[in-house]
Order: sequence, then structure tokens, then C-alpha cells
Amino acid sequence: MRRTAVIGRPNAGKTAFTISFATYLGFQSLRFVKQTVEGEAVELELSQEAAAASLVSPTPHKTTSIQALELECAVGKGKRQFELLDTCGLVEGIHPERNIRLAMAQSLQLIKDADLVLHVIDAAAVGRNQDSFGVLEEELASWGEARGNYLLLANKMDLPAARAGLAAIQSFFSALPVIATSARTGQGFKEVKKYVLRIL
Amino acid sequence: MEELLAKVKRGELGVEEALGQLNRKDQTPTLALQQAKARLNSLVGLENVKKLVEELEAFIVIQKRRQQVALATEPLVLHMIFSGSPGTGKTTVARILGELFRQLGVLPKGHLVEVERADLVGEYIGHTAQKTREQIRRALGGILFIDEAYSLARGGEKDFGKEAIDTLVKAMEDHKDQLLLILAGYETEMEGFLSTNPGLRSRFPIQIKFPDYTIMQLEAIAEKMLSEREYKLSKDGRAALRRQLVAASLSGELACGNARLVRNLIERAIRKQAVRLMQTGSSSREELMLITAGDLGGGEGF
Repeated sequence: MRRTAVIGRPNAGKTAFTISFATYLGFQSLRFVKQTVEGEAVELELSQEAAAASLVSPTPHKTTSIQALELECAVGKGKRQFELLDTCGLVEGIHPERNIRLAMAQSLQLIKDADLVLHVIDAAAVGRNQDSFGVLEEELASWGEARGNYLLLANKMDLPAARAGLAAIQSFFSALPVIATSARTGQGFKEVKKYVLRIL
Repeated sequence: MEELLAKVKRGELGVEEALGQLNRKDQTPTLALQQAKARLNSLVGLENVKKLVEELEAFIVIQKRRQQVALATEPLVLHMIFSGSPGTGKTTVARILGELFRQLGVLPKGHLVEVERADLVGEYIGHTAQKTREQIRRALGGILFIDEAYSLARGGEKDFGKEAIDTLVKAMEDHKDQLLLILAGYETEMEGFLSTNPGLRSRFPIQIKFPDYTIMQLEAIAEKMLSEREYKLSKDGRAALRRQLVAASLSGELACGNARLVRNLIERAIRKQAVRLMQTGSSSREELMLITAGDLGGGEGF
């Protein structure tokens, strides 16, 4: 099955995006398969509301394992199946917690192996602080340019500061495609779906 | 990859450092470097450019080795001036240099941003610095290529072009390791520009002249363009091409078009060949490739 990885810094809205994108594709109940850093696979089935309530949090590094969702999409007369993998947020430097280090290594592996990478960026945070891009973004950008199939999502577009952030993201990642999204309002999901289906 | 991941897990390497190592490793620099050099060497003529690039490459490599053994190194100032008529290969060479310098590790990205006066100079006070900085930001990590650079100095004291120059000079200092500036334009105008701005000349240590192509060279360029497109010239086609080039050279058109003129000539011939083949209805493989004198001649100008 083709795999799409959702990556980004902590609190960019990766999990919220994953959940509402699945909902947008018409899934009422979400069957997550958690691949923990210890190598176990834990299944949990949640409704959209329950998933949003239990998996999304304003504290960074809520997600510390890969959370995989099997999704399918109607294409013409057939269906296209793919896996959407929510990952642990990436930060620069060496994280003191071993668990998070292991989870970030998982994310890294996926950035290399996935068929498509969706890099989620908190556009509102970027809009508030124009200098929020660091080495991590630079390396990801050149990695993305080299590998291809790398899409940036300027997320949280429902917030007022996000507009300025979007412009900053577009100019920083000038060689990569950017779509403005909002996990809350569903903005940009149509374009993301189109892009995902074109590649997978 | 496994090793990198293990290091990340053990907390010996940050994610961004691991990614950085992946980035460096995946570029397989030597191959890409050779490809860029092969592209440069396949250009017709431009012997002085090729020689200079050899020198620069050697210089960069040796400076790096000196750095490794902690010897004093010369700072790499690679800002350049390209002077020559249109169509003499300035942009093409700049693009290849960008790739080359990226592979040599001089520029992080090596892309080319082409601008002209209108992209840099604004309409009201303060606008110019803003516009120029915007272009500089786009070019960071690569090459900012300013075509007809002397137009920045036109218009006298009150012209905003001066402000653009000042902003550029400042950026050359501020982003020393991230920006390579190339000023390009006609030779005589470039000379005038530099002699009225003496401070500029010293900031651009590398000056390359792009001479007009000779008719023989232009013929070689035409053959190369055709073979890249999988066409070839018939015998009378070659004679017709030469006649056209000589005529253009006499009328002075050649000097203001050079390789670009040849390209237009070739592209028009390809269109005419298509019309001819439609009319005659023949389409053997040989016919589909051949450009004859009829395709090249009989046009009204270029």
C-alpha cells in the first residue's frame, strides 16, 4: 500500500490534520494502528470526535509513535487505498527524552521511505514570528527538493496571523509546492486530496 | 541510514543533523560535478570561460584542503562580470556555474535568479531597497544574475538605480557565503559603468568576456541544436545556412543575436520542414530528420 507521511514540528497540527482529512474523505470511524517505538502495533478505533479529543493536544509532543490510518478514496469508478501516517513532531538538537528521540527516528525513517510526504507547518506561528525557520526546515527543504513528492501544508489558516505566515512559507520553500490548509475549517483539503491522488 | 537512525535514537545526533548528512550523501557530488563540467565543455567556443572554470575549481578544492590542515585560506570572492553581446552564452554559463559551485560546496543551492533593472528599482523613495532586498533574498544560496547591469547607473543623480547598487553592495558583504552576484551586459556599456563606479570593479574580481561567435562556431552551434532535436542538415542545407549567416553578419544582425539568432533560424526551419512534409506527404525516417536548403532559405529576415 502506498504510504503518505505527515511530518512537521510539534504542534503544527499534524494529528488534527490527519483526523480531519480522514473525516473529509468520508470516514466516520477511524481505525488507528499505533506503531510504538518498542515495535508493538496497537489498534484503536475511535470516532472522529473521540480521536480529536484524545489524540490532539495543545502541549507539544502529544504524538510519540506512528499512528497509521488506512484510507480509501473513490477515484472514477474504482477506489484507491493508501495509508496516512501521523508522526512524532521533529525538533532540532538532541531531545532529552529517549522516547521522543526514538519516535523522531521513526519519523525520519518515514521521511525517507514514504511515497509522499506532507510537511505540516503552523502558518500562524510563522506569521507571528518571521524567523521561525531553522536548520531543520532548510534540511527538510533540500531533502524534499531532492526526493520529490514533497508537499507543504501551511496549516492553521483559520487564524489571523496565518496569512503573513503563508507568504513567508511560500518564499522560504520556493522550490516546493505549498497548499494553505486549516484542519479546523477544512480549507485546502480539496487540493490536498487532488495532489495525493495524483501521486499515489 | 540505519547507523544515522541509531545515532538519533542514542541521542548523539539531532534530527536536522541526520537529515543534513542524508542530504550530503544523496547528492553523489562527483558524478553531478562531472555532468556539470561536461555540460560546460560541450558548449561551442568559450575557451576562456572553460579555462577559468578549471582554475576556479582547482582553487576551491585546494583552499578546502588547506582549510582541513588549518592553513591560512584566501576568502572565496567569486562575484563576476560577464560582458558580451546578446546570445553569446552568458546566461547559459551562469546557470552551469551555479550547479558547479553547488557541487563544489561553495553555494548551498546554486540556483540562478535572473533580474533586470525593473526588478530592482522601485517607483518611490524606499521602494527600491525593498524590491532589491526581495530579489536578493530569492537568490540567497545561489546566483543573482543582473542583466544589463549598467542601466542601474543611468538616469543621473536622482535616479533610484544608485540605491539599488548600494543595497546590492551591502548584501554582498552581509551574505558573503550565500550569494554570488553576476553583472552582465554589453562590453562597452559595462566598461563605462565600472569606470564611473570604481568601488564596484574591485568587488568583482572575476571578469569574463564573451566574444561574438564566428560563423564557423555558429554553424557548429546550429548542428548541435539540430542533433539535440534529432534533425540533421542536408548538404545544400548546410550551404544555405552558411549563406544566411554570412548575410546576417554583413547586415550586422549577427552581432546582436549570435546563438539566439541561430536558434530562431533553426526553429523556423523546423516549422517550414513540417509544412513541406505535409504537402509532399512523404514521411520516411530520413525525410523526417532532414532539413534542406528550401527549409532554411527564402525567409524574409529572421
